[in-house]
Amino acid sequence: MLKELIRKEILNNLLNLRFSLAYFLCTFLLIGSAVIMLSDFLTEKRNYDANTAFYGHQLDGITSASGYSYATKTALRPPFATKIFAMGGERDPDTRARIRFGNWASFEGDFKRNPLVNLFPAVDLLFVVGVILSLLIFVLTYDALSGEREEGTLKVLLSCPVPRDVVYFGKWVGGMVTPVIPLVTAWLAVMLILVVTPSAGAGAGEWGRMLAILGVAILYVATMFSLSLMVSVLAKKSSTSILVLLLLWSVGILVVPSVAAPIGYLLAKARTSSLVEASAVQAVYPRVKAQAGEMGDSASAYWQRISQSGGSFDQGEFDKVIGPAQRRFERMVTDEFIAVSKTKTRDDERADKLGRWISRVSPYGCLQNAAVALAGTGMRNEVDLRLSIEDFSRKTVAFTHQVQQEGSPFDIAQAPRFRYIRADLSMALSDCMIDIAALLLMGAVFFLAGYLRFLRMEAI
Amino acid sequence: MFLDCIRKELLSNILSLRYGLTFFLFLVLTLAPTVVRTEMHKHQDADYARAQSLCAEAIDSTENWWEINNLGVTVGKRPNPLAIFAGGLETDMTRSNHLGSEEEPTVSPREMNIPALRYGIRLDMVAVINIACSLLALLLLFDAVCGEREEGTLKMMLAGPLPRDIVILSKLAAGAITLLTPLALVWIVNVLYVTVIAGVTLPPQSLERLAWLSALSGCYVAFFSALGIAVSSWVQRSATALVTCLFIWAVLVLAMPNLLPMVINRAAPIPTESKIIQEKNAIEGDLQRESPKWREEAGATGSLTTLQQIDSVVNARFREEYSRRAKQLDRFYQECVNRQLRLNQQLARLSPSATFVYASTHTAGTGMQDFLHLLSDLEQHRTRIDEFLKTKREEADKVQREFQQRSERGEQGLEPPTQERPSASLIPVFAYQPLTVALTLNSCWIDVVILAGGCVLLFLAAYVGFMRYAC
Repeated sequence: MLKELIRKEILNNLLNLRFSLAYFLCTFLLIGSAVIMLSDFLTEKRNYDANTAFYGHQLDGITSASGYSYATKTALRPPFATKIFAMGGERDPDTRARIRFGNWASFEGDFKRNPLVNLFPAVDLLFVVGVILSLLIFVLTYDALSGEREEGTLKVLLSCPVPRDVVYFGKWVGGMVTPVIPLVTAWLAVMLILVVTPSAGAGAGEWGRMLAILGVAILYVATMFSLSLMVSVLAKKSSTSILVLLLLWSVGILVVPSVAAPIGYLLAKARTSSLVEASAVQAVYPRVKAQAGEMGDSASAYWQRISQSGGSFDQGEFDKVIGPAQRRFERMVTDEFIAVSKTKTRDDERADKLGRWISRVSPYGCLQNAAVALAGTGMRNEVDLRLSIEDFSRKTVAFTHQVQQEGSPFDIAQAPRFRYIRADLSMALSDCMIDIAALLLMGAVFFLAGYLRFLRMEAI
Repeated sequence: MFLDCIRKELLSNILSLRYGLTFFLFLVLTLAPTVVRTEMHKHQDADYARAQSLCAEAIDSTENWWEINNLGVTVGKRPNPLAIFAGGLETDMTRSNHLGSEEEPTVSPREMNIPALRYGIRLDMVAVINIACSLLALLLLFDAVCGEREEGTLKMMLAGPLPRDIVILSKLAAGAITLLTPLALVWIVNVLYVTVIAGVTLPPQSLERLAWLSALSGCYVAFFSALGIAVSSWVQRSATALVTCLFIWAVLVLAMPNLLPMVINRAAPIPTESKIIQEKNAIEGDLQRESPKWREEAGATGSLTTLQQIDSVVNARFREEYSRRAKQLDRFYQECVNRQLRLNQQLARLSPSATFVYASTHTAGTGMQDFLHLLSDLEQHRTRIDEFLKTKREEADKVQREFQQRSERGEQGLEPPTQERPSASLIPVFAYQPLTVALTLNSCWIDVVILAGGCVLLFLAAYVGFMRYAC
């Protein structure tokens, strides 16, 4: 009996023009969005590869440790294929960090790019599933039960020897299959496109993440469908049902996820970048000046000596004279600015955590948090990148000092290079466990509430 | 009769639960983000003032103008209160810029630099109107004609002595009034909240800008109202009308504005960062090859006697020449970016959503033209700062040289010269002057014409469709 009811629901939906059109729209948007995102990603990857090679070669001509110390080392933010699914914070990020003698290493802004992409929401797969598909589910299933009651067909159905729970399960399973079909179809199409595009560089880790995002998306669709069915059961009229669902959609999908992050930021009392930098300069500059003064005195003494003796400038001797002061200066500046960077990162992490907790009130907020964590485009990625920059900064200083102190010949090939290794899938899954659990809980609550109400519902 | 029809349509809209919900949704969707964005603005404004004060203190603590070389001068634009309503490019426009140091100017990260603030939809009044109000307009009016046909009331209405053109005109007028009235009320409530309750001071000409913003949003919502009724006049079933409206909405509001930057990136590409740096390295290489010649020239003058003095002059000349050529290169690449941005705006006029967003953000002072204007102002200020610091350093060097020469001549009783200490109050201040309302409207009028023209075309489509409608 259950199988018959499921089959009836699926056929009813698939043979219904509005369902077919709506889900065709959804599939079209999903695949279209993926193609556009993939194209952008491939361009970004090409630029990243070209820039990395260039910056790598830029240092090749350096022949001394002090030259390396004064040279600008560049670290670039790598793009990942999973941002096709959930762009998150990788939407127009700052991509370049420059590590220079005596300066703060952090990602910098760049005005030589097109900022207009920020004027519109990114239509990635997360947006299409989270916003568009959820709206379609509401608009097309708001009358799943209330409509049947108004038409009188529910009375006929329940007068047959069909248990109510079988009717409800049948509606749920049959109705759920319909939005999942375009979702899975589109996902498979996207993965096929990635397979035939080897330049996308999608490895085993990326596939795992994409499948995990698909799993969360299906869970989200199930939750939203359960919500729609529940409202359809609770409402006496279809018009009430659609109005309530639209209200919930507007608040839960548009408002809550959008205001959660700013509220988290305000509650965490995080400071803006310019205030952090200005505070850091105010706190650190007097010490930097004193240390730089010591370096300057050593350099002046050297210049005075060769001026009086009529000698010529010798780089090696100059390095020996100012070396100790220079090394103290570099270590001090690096340590001070890394401490400031860590404080800022802690502020930002706190703000992000608070924002995520607030957004968990909404199923879309949970989907967003989980998808972004799995795609590696959220706060963990940002923090890991900042830590990698700090680590690279320390390593370059340590390398230079080691060569200078040992007096060994300088070999640029031995110099540290910036490498960023993204956290693996297990870390990403641990980041989104709470969001997945919240979605499961919400889905279960909506399903049970609708189910229990349906068991007692009057069919007339 | 026409007024009676409008009255009938208005009453049937206003007295419906759907209308109450629409008004409530307009309010919730706009007020919630406005409240949050107002607090964010106040927080950012307070941090901006504090950061500027700390930067001034840092400059005041330096001992000579050469120290400013290392410290640099940090400038930034004060947060714009109108960005509460239309965020636009404000997050990029409020980045700090470090000028006046030996290094190339750098741009700081975004002020509020957590990824979650860049997720999904950044909700402000303009985004709500762009996405939600357009959708609500379609959902309210998609069955204005076909719904009545399904209920059987259309047949009865047309059986009377009521001409068809009066019926469709009254539906269009009533549909527009039904949506524009709550929209106007919502604008008033939001502005009152920001100015009276939150106490945010708006800059001059703000009320004029806000009036134009609300007029633009009215045109935009009217466009989608007309679209809803036009679709309803051409299809027979409400379900088909709903899906058609949703499809058109998805293409116009979601797909097109996002596709356009992609197309334009290919039509007018910006050179990669490595290319820019390669060219700057080539400039540096050229100048290094010329340095020995400058060294000879400096030595030949006879006025410089020590190696240090010669190096100082040569280095200064190197920096000046590099800065001049690098700036030319930067201007060329910025022009590539500007060309892409202008093309973006022109092509965006194919989509009413993009047209509305560009025009609204420009009216609020957070749009593309304002961004380019800010970059131009920053470039000019950078030149002013460079020249100012160069003058100050030259003055300080001159005083020092004179003292040295006098002491070398053996003059007695000389006291070391007192150098002027740097002070933030002496350094030229960056005061960003936004584009005037007149200039802004000069750029936006075409967007208003496009939206209004779209309304007229859709009205004609609705009219023609309804005149031929089989009820």
